[in-house]
Amino acid sequence: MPYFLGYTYVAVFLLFGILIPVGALLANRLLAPRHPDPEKLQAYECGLATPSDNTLPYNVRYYIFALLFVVFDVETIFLYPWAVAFNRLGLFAFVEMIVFIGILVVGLVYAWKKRLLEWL
Amino acid sequence: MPSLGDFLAVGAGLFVLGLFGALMKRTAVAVLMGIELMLNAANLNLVAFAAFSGRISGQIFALFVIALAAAEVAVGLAILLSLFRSRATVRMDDIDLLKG
Amino acid sequence: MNLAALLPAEILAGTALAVLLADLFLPHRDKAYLGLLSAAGLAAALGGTARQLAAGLHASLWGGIFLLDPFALFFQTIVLGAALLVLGVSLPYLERWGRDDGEFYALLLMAVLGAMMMVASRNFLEIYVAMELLSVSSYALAGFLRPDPRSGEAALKYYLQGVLASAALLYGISLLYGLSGSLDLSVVGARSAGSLGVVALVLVAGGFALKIAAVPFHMWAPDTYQGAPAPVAAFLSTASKAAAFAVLARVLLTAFPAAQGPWQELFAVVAAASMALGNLAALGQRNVRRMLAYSSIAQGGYVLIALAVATPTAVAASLFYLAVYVFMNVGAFSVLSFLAGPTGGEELADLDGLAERRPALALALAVFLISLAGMPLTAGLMGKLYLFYAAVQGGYAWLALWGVVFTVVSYFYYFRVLRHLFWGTAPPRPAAPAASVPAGLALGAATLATVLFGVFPQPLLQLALHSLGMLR
Repeated sequence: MPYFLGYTYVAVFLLFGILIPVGALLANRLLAPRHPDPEKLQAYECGLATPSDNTLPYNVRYYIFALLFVVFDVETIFLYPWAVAFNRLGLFAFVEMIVFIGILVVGLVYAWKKRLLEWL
Repeated sequence: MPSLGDFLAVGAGLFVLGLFGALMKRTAVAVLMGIELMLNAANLNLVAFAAFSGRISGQIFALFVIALAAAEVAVGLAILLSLFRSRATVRMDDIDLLKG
Repeated sequence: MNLAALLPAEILAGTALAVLLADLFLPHRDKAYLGLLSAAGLAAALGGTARQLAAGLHASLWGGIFLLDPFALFFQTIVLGAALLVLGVSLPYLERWGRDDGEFYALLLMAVLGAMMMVASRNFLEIYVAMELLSVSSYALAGFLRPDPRSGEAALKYYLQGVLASAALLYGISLLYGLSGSLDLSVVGARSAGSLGVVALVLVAGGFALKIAAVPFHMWAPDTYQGAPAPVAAFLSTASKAAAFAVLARVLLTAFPAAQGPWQELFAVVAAASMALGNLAALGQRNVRRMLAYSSIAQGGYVLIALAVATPTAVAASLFYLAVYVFMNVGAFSVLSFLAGPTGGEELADLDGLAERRPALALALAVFLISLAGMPLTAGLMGKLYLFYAAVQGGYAWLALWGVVFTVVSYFYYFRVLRHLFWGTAPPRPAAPAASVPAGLALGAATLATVLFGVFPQPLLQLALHSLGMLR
């Protein structure tokens, strides 16, 4: 039990750590005068008038990279169970994994030759 | 330790939430998100059943689902992207060239 | 043993990868070789599968994950045959659109591979993986004509509904796995009794019904068949449909014979609704491709009679029907693929006087439509007769009657096309491009088969009955 008593300090710190910022924000909310107008409600952008919405379209290239990343990243999950059981699975599973990776490499070569790996 | 029923309840909730989103949302990307929730509900079920019955096949299945879902989403976003290039919209109401 | 029995599938996978790689390194003028290479791969796989079927192969592979029995081999042959016809037609089609890239052939081969593995699966994991291979390739194929927004729209609609159904299917599988503790088809059904099992079964059946385009899950079909490249529409309406039907039949008949009563009623309703909606909606269509899409929903309804009746005769009749349906439906979509260009050309009015401009094409289209309608001396009639007869025998006389009524309804729209073909006045317009050799071969084969199986249906029916013998 004394061991856990050490944690009471942490708990007290945690409590104050939550109470103080919440209290400060609450006090600000209660005390400060508030007269909102459209100008004030704008997102802050270095003091100048906001030129546009903040949901700008991203460059389409990001999506291409993301698509490639998602596919190749996720395919590697098959390597983990194989690696864990490598010693028991033997040669056949090894060859199978080589074939699997070979197919992935074909995909990578495809993306490479189609110039999807470059930022044009 | 939560019981099997808890996992199934969360899974069913996720599934219904995803189905609701997939049927109600009007943009294709949001529909995709709903479908992802449904897939993950099934995954949760598979893993929970596997863990509680001591059989490994459910976990293996979940791995396959994760990989296939990624492939599915990649193709879906690619279709969406090529459509967006010609139509400049992803709202399902605007995608209406084909009707009889 | 395992690897040798799967040789046709391995050939397909190898060809698909080879085509994808060769496409990257070939100069553009040599792209035609890719189509020929794919055709060679498909033909080799078809030959191998047909030999296995003739030899009566019955092999359980990889510890029961795959079952290569005559039932699976029959459907593999159907799928490969359909793909070969589709490939022959796509060669000139893609060239005309300027999209004759290797990806199309690679994607088609991978879709076929998925369908092949799907019908031979005896394990839900493998069924799901194979079906995803088929689906993901099909989505990409449907959107292949990238400059055309209609193609993209067709792909997106198919994709969103397909992914939704496959998520539901997966959830159903997860429930069945929980109930039975197994993914093996032969174990799952016996241990999945009760209401939760029924819910799971409905979810699973819904996933397959979407691919068959059966009625509550048919919404994507008209849009996708109309907007997708015509050869792809031919593939989706035949090979993909046949594969999904095969898996559905296998799941229901081998895994859930105990729950037969409820799902029989369910499929009787689905079949009746598909026949009614498909045929009635087709009546109002001016676009011939869209009309064929609704017709294909109705045809799916006829085939689903087999699952409602669920007797061996009925299922054998559905095998026969699907086999001949491949020829007539791929044929009909193929003729349209010659007529249509980037500017359309698939409206009824565009067919006016085709018999004068392109007599061979018009005659072929007439044969396919007459067969789809089910007139004498065509394979379509024999198929319908076997199905309706089996329904009467199995105690579903009302379903047979319903089918006959809507077959008569279907005459109106099939014959309206014929009227335009032969009695319409041809407007002055540029002649359709000449058919190439592979496309001509594919069309000729489809026409010949449609007539041949109408006059001599017995051998094919015997084969269907034999394939079924070992399903259980």
